[in-house]
Amino acid sequence: MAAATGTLRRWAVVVAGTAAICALPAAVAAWPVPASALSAAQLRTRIELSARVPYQGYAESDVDLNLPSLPDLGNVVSLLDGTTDQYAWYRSPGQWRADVLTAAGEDDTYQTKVGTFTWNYTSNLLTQILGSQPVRLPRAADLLPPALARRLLSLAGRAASFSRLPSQRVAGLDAAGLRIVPTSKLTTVGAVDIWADPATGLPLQVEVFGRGAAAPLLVARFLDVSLTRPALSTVTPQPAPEVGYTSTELPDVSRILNQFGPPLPDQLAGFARVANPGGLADVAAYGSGLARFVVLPLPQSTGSAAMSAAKSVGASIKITGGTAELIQASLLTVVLVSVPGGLVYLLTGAVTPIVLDHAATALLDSY
Amino acid sequence: MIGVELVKLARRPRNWVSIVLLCALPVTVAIFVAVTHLAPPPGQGPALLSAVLSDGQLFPAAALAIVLPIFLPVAVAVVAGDSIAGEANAGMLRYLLARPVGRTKLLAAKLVALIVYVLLAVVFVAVTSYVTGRLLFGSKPAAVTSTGITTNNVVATSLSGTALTPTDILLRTAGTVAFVTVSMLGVGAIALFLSTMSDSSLGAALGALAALITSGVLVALNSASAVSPYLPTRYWLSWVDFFRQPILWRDIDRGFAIQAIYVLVFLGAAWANFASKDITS
Repeated sequence: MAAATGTLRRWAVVVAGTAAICALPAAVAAWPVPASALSAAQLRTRIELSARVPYQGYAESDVDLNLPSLPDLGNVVSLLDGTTDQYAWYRSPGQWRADVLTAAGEDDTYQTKVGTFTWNYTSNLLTQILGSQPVRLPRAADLLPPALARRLLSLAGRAASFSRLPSQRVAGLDAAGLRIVPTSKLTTVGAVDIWADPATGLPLQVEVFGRGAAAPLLVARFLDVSLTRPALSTVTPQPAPEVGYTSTELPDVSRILNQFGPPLPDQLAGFARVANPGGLADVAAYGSGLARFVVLPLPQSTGSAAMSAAKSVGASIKITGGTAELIQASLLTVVLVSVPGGLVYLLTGAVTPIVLDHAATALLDSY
Repeated sequence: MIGVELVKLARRPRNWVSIVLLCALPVTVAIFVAVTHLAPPPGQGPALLSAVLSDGQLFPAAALAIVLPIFLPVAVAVVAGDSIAGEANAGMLRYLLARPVGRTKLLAAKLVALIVYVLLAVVFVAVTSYVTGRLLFGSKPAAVTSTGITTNNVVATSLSGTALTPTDILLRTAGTVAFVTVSMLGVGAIALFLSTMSDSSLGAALGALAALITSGVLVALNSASAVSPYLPTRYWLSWVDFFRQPILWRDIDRGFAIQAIYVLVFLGAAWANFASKDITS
């Protein structure tokens, strides 16, 4: 009898201890987070002004845009359709570093006062990128919560309604929530939720929902973050002697793209053209708020390959004056249209297919 | 009691055979790589193996990457699974406990012996692979680069592209040895617990390996990401963070912590079961 009691007592100790350990993460998560007194407008302003807030931390982005594979866009597709883990050290807008971590390597981006550098362990190569980048493809650092949140806020502009969400804990910090709901029905974005440190406005988590979706299609969040300024040496490339070094001058995008076709119109299917900082006549963004799409001409070989790929994964749509290929992903809509002379235009954005249908028709009409 | 268990550990030939086999695998890999000069490209295959062709001092870390996924946990599970079940199976457990020794003390002594075995195995792999690396791949001669950087104190490149000095490599390899050793203790604790549940050493070892395989499958499964941070194998490969610049301590710290929890829980379960178990053999 005494032995049985002893056995029970020992197992009770072990089970209780194990239960306590297992319950600890849930208890920490359930611990009430103090509400922030900031209004939606105040929080929005703090987020917009947070670009100078230093930080260092480990972030994870999980994106499920369900994009098909397209030629020359493999890296972008994997970025926008999978999980990316990165560690970031951020001193200021002109001095930061973001490392995409893999099990046996890393791909790093350094932004320094003398320019942008990339380090690729697989090729053992440090590359200095010369020149500015008025137009570029998305890169992993764009998915860091602070960069993504500020970009989405900037895109949303005034064409959205803003409201507060209950505070929640992100990476151990109490974060105040802000919901952005676009007023336009033409965007595929249903809502954007941002949680930020109320004191500094540094965004800690971003969630993007499709229209009517209960689960976010894009989640970018810090798993670990410290609001301390990293050392200058950490955000400065310090290549070992055996590391290969190259510099690459960015192609003059303006000169390359502007040689195709006539300049794009100021209005397309009723959507006004948005001024772009690169001054490119042949790459244009139209619309307002998150209901925005870009139009760009593709060089001959890329255009043909993209058209072939789109035909195999997309759907052909009849438009007045010709046909176009439509690819409908979770948030993004892509339309490829051939205009007289063989040039292919790519139209894409977080807009409904009907928007790009009308835009493609208007584009054909302009020829 | 601990001394007795350590002597038994040292006198058991199969323990030494398992360590020799563990050391032999990286040596075999090194011979093939040295003869053919064909290493996996950077970022593929075992971590850092691509770098050993230019300097052998990184081979201990690459060797640990080679034995970590399968061979080391199998060896640890076999030794830990044999701890109590082996004595019971051989009919020795009754005699062991006939001495004025508490069961808890016996369990603690078994755990210490297991820790010593794991440490010996990992250190032997590191040392033999260091010697193999230096012999087969050599080390970098001193030189001055075109940019004026003296390389007489730089022998390798980190995953972040920065220079690693011999001191860096020594310290980071020591950190790796400690991390891999601790990573194996979770497996050992699970096998030790199962060893108190059964008289079959093989059953205990296979049970622990089944737990590890399950953990490995779940870690690779996106839909199981909610439980992934709590699985015993989740942070095993985080030792590679020692070879980044700066060292990323986040997953290393979590790796140490999760192993401590597994050891605590399964050692507690082993104690609860063994302290009141009817010893019949």
